[in-house]
Amino acid sequence: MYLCSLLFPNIEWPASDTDKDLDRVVARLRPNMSYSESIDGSEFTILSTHNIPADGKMRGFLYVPDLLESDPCVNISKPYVPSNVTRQANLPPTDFTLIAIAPWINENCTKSYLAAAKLDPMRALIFYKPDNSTNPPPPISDPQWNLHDGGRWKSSNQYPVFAVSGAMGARMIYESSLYSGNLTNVPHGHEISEIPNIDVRDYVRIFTKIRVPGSSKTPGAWAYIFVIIALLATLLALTSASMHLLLHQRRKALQNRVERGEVNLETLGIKRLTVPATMLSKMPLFVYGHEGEKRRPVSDHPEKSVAALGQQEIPASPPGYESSQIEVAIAESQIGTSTASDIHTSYSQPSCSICLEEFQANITTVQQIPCGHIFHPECIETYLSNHSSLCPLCKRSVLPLGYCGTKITNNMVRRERNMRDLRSRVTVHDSTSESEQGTERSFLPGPIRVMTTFSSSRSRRNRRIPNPISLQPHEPLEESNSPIDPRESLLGTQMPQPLTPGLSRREIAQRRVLELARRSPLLEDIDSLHRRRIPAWRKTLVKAFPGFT
Amino acid sequence: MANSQRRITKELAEVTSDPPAGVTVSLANESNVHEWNIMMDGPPGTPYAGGKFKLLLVLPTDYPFKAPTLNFKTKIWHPNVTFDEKGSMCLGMLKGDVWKPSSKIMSILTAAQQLLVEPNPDDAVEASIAQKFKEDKAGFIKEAQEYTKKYAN
Repeated sequence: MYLCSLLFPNIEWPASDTDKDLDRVVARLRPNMSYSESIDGSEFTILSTHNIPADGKMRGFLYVPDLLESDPCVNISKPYVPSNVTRQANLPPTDFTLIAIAPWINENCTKSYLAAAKLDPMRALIFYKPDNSTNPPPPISDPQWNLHDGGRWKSSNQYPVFAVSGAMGARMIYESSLYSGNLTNVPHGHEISEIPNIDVRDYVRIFTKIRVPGSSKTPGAWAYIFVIIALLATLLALTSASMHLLLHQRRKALQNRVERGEVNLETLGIKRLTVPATMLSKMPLFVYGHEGEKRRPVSDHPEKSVAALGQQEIPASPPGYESSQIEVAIAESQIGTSTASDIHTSYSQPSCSICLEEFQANITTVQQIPCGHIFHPECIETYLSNHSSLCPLCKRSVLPLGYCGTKITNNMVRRERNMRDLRSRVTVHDSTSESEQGTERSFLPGPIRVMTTFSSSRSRRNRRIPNPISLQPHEPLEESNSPIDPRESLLGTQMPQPLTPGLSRREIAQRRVLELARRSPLLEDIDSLHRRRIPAWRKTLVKAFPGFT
Repeated sequence: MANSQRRITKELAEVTSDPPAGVTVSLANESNVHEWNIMMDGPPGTPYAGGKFKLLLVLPTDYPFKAPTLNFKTKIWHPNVTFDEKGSMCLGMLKGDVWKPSSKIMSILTAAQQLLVEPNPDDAVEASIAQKFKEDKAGFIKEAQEYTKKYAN
């Protein structure tokens, strides 16, 4: 706390000054004609920290608040407060800030002073015990600062309250009384008035600065740290958001490709799908070896009408299946009828390949799935609704083209991208073009395009695969002496059978891609598998930064 | 699942009445149709000839929707079978996403036999054996014969 006498102009005279110009306008008087005093932080007590500014600095002209005329405390405090002490009336009527001082005589008068100060534009109130003690004021916990209202006075008064020792308080009041009058009445008034450019209407008053230690300690550093933390947080949030956005777009892209029918998640081994009950119920049911006969209309062109019948029987047949594939399967038992041999049967199925029971003509009800295979309804429904969406016989999907049936997750996206990487690495020696041109061609024409733009450096699985992988389609599998480590080899036994020369290059490549994909451990459910393995902190990390795995 | 039991019983009857050459099948425990003991003779003309190999076929409760597992109980020195107590066999058709419910146990047994005749070093689970098989056929045959004598008698 610091007090000094300041010289400052009468506000009406320069007419221009405001609180902002205070520093420029007011001047500290030279030491030989002024009063100044410093009070160490240990010599005053903070009674109320209410509304201490963030920088811990309060300043203003020292004055004593005016009590109401009727207040008995006016008389009680008279012995301690000289009549000529600086009052608000002795300060120019501007918005200069103020700091009040008052004696703590008794509870009631303290409350009166607190209430009176409340009305003034003051920054702080300083109390002192009128005991002339030179000891520092007792700490805040001392019972003498108790106003018996549970400390409510601190919060109800919107200003900080300090206490100084009795001797100090009395001296401040005394100095305040000295510097309350005209320029010529204050100590050294005549000397001051002789300073050039000084008007007799100017004021000399006691100015008080209070600095609260601690709260003002390097506010810059804190702000700096805060800014850095905020910047980092923003950066992290932005990164997280952009990663989420990117993966969202990739999920969306995969979903679109599934919906356009370019990708089947289960055929590629990405995700096991099941068939919803509504779709199952749409698959046609009929009595084995009976339906076709009964419903075949008498016609001169039986073949034609049966083809029509096939169409009609599967109203929900998805696009992409040719009519020959959905024609009704007619069993051998029907040979007894004269027209049976006329019927073009795609599949001859005497028994259900799930339970291995034989179908009984005209008795067994069978269900046909879109690829044309027939099963017992209970067998195929159990399988399709719980285990897979692929035909138990030919592994063709029974789901309509473009049906997604599952929520695309990041793991699926990642797996699908890995598969595309793999696919882009498969090259096949075309023996004819090789002999003619001696070149090795990157392979996969048509809808399966070679995606060379994806970098596979991040995929561990891919890194092990020598590049490029060569494959001789016209040679038996075992004899292809490719320079591949046996463990990592891609020419696996899972190949259903050795490649037959009849296969087109495209078929070979498609098979190869599937083989490569199956090389990785089967992901019955990639998501649950991943979830199980990852510790909690990584789950959180992955949640915040998807793709960061 | 009753259906599963029925199918297994049916297949058991089929395999016991007409087993592949050199294979005999019995239930590990008469009350449990899900575990089959299989005795397989080493196919003639292979280093495993003369050996008798015991295998355990475990059929899951939701067979045929889920693939069975086939393990060698007798140690066998083969590129596609782990050379340890488990004797896990790497059989393509038993892999989860290759498995078809329409595949039958008979074909699994035939495939297992075929793998003894023609090891597949490119899909090996025992890399060192596979390497030997590829680089030193004579040495491979000799060693496989020795192990067959040691374990499969």
